Amino acid sequence: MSKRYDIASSIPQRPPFVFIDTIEEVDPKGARTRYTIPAACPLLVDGILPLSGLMENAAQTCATMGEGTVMYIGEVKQMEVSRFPKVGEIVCTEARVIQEWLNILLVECTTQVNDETIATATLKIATITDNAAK
Amino acid sequence: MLQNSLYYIVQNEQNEYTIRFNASHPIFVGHFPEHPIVPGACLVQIAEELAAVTYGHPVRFTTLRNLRFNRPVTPDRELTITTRRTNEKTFNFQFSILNSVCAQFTANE
Repeated sequence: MSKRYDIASSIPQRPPFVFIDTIEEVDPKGARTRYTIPAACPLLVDGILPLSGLMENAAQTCATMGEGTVMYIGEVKQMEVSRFPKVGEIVCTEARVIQEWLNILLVECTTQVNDETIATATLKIATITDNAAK
Repeated sequence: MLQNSLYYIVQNEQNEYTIRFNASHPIFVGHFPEHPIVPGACLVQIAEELAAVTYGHPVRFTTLRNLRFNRPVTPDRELTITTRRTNEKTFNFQFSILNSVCAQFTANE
C-alpha cells in the first residue's frame, strides 16, 4: 500500500489550475505524479496538451517536493516535447533533484505516456521556508 | 485559446503587443486564491498564440530554452509582449510591464 498524498496540502494551486491528480511518491530529492488530462483542462488546444500545459505539469510535480516550503520556478532552462498528449491520456511525470545550492534546486523532469517519454525539462527552483513566505 | 477569454489584445504594433487580462477568468480562482498571478505556463501559451497572429499560421512550440521569470505578472497590469523570429523556426519573446522585464524565453516550433 502506498501512502496517499493530498494534492491541496501539497501544492498552492487550486482548481481549475491543477495539473496533477495523484502523487505516487515524493521526498525532498524527487517526486512522481500522474495526471489524466481532463476535457476541461484550461490549457488544451484542439484536444491536445501543448508545451505550456506539460510545463505546468512538470512545475507542479516539482512543487510537491516542498514540504513546509513554497517553491518558485525561477527558470526553465530547457524543455523538449516529442509528442503532445491528448485528452484522456495519463501523463506520468518524474522529477529528480540533480543539483542543490543553498535554496536553489536544479530539477530534471521526465514525462511519459504508457512508458513512452514524450517530454523532458530542466527547471531551476528557489525554495522559501513557510515562515519567510508569511 | 486564451485570447479573448483570459486576455485581450489592446494594441498591436510591429510584433509588439499590448494585452489586458480578464481578472475574473476562472484561472485566477486557482492561481492563486485571493492572490491572482498570471501563471508562467499561460505566458508561454499567450506567446504561442501571438506568434500565430504575427506569422499568420498556427504555431506549436516543441522546445523552449532559458525561460526566466524576473517578477510576477498580476492581472491588473497591461503587459507588453515583443516577438522576434531569429530564424525559420526560432522565436524570442520578452514580456514587460512599463518597460520592466517580467519574463523572457526562446522557443522553437
